[in-house]
Amino acid sequence: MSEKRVLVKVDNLVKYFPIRAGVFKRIVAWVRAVDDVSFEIYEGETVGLVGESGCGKTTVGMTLLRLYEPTSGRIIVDNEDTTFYFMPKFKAKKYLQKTYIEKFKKEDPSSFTGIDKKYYDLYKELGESGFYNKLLSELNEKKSEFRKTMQIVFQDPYSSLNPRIRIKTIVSEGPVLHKVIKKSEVIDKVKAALEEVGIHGDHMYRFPHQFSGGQRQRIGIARSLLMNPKLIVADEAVAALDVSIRSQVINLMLDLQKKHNLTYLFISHDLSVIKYMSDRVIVMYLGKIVENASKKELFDEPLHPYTRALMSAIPVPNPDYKKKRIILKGDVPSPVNPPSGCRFHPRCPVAKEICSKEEPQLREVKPGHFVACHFPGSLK
Amino acid sequence: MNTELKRTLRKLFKNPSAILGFTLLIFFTLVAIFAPLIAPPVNPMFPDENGNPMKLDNPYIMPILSWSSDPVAPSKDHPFGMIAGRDIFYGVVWGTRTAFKIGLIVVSASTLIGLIIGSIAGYFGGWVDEFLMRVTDIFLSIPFLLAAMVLTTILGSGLNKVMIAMVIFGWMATARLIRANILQVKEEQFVLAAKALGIKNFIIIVRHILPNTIFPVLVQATMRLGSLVITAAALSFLGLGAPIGYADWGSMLNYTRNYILGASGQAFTYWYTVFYPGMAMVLFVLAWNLVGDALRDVFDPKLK
Ligand SMILES: Nc1ncnc2c1ncn2[C@@H]1O[C@H](COP(=O)(O)OP(=O)(O)OP(=O)(O)O)[C@@H](O)[C@H]1O
Ligand code: SF4
Ligand SMILES: [Mg+2]
Repeated sequence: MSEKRVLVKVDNLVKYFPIRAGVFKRIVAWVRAVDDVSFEIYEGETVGLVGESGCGKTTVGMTLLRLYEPTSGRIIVDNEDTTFYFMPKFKAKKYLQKTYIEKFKKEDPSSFTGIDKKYYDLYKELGESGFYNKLLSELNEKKSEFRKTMQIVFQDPYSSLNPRIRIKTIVSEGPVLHKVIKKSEVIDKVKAALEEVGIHGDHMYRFPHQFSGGQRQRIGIARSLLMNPKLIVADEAVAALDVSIRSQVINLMLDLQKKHNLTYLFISHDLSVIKYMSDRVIVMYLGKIVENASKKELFDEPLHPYTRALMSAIPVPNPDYKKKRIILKGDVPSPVNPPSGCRFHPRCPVAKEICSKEEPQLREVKPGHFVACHFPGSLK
Repeated sequence: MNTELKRTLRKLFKNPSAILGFTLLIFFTLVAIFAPLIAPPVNPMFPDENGNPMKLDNPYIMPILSWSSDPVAPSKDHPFGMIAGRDIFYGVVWGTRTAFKIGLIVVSASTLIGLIIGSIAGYFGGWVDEFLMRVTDIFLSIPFLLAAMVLTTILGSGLNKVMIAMVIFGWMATARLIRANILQVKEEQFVLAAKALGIKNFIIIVRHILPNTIFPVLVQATMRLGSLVITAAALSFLGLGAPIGYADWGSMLNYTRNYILGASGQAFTYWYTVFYPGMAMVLFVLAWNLVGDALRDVFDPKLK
């Protein structure tokens, strides 16, 4: 990858789920599933997202695809702010006002970069109302573009295909709606897409229950593929498959990536799969990103104590190589009342006093290697 | 699909209670369709100038054939006997049409309302769900007979008014059932996949959610169809439903009130006044229940 282009940029993404109780179903607390995470995904790369169950990986993926509405934060895709696309119009306008107009009026324009700069120029050119009109116009086209750009492959091959619909419809429904393919080409295109993922083209007239788990997962991939997406979020896409089939599907995904220049956000709790697939790895703990580095960096020299503990749990093929296994004390705390300061401090073997008081920010400690820890690299 | 359909049909016809249910249902349907042939809507008491019996303006109003209102035992001319001057056979035959009319109209209307309310509540969730479910609770908390009485005093009595009351107070079970099913299916990954593909909400509900949730509702509706006839009968028995002389099994039982216990010392003298309309009602309810049961077995994916 010579020139890296940012495809997706996530800024301070927050997703809280309400917990309701009582007769009136009032909100009594919030599950802080994703709490202020920022990261970038470059075109053509595979980003692995790893962490224990419940740390918010799925929530990140679903919010990115706007299957959940973010509580706050900004999601920039292909150098366009997409955050407001799915809001009602008055909310979208309020969002734009708070995010851009207020900032443009207060802050020094020379400090703006990236999307801020792009939108500032637009604001200068069109004025305030022109700015709103421009960004809020053609929202349906923008949403359609968004859906085409980002697709998802799910974990459960049994639940991810509608049991009452033929494969042909399952695979072509989205692309026809968004005019990626014409109605008249459905049969040819579906056939080609199925054959690309290793399913016999004539099987498009079958129903999902006539396929095995691995085949269904391939059909799910074909469904995404025919939208001609740039990014595919794969949420535990191989976790439910038998080990032998798992590697076939992984290799299929890698082949498709090369052929179509796809970008993957590959979500998994399995570090060995992550290691095989990813170019870069993001480690999450309790709704926060704790480490973000290239695969090589991360596996050679993990700097966050939590990452180190995770690594020490990977089985090593060579029995002579004695690795010290770091056992973490206690369980993952609840995301409803996360610990103060560093969320990992109650379980961290090298925690100091400051850790429970001050939250460590995600800092770039080495080029391209981000860690959120007061004492990176201190756990050996 | 075709092989699946065949398999389903074969399974249905191996089940004796399903066969009984469908047979009864077909029988009632035939009776309803051919009612004008089985019990011609004429009144022989009033011949026209050519000596032919007078045609009835409204065949649903049982003609008065005798000025005595006391029950008359079954005879060749009146195989089910007579009561209040009316032929019970005629009433039972034309009452089949009334039963279908009440059942089909009330069930389709209330199921449709329940389907719409339940789908919206389940799919959109949040405060929409909250609001619709509270409304459902309120409707459920009102005792039906009381509500029907109040409504018919407002709207006036009559079969149509009773049917309106039954629709207004008949959609809640469907709404709850469909909502619960949708809540379950909504979390299925194929629904999320459809959202990620940008499919419109309406299409998601109609194409992806309802086909996977509607069968329990159809089963429930089928079962309800029979029992609604009982409810209508209860209302008729209370004098809220069909007008006097209407060919409706419930109203016919209403006539028998004075004769149910028979003459003194002979409890079963007037058995036919209760037996024939009652039997029709019981068999009608049974038919729908058996059919509903059979459909449940067919649609339950766990039994496939
Ligand atoms: N729809 C929801 N409503 C309420 N809470 C939710 C919802 N979805 C997720 N959560 C909570 O948010 C937290 C993060 O969940 P998430 O599914 O994102 O974790 P995950 O990292 O994907 O875990 P896993 O490896 O088990 O899939 C968990 O505590 C979960 O209980
Ligand atoms: S900040 Fe402190 S508690 Fe948190 S991981 Fe680093 S050392 Fe451990
Ligand atoms: Mg998950």
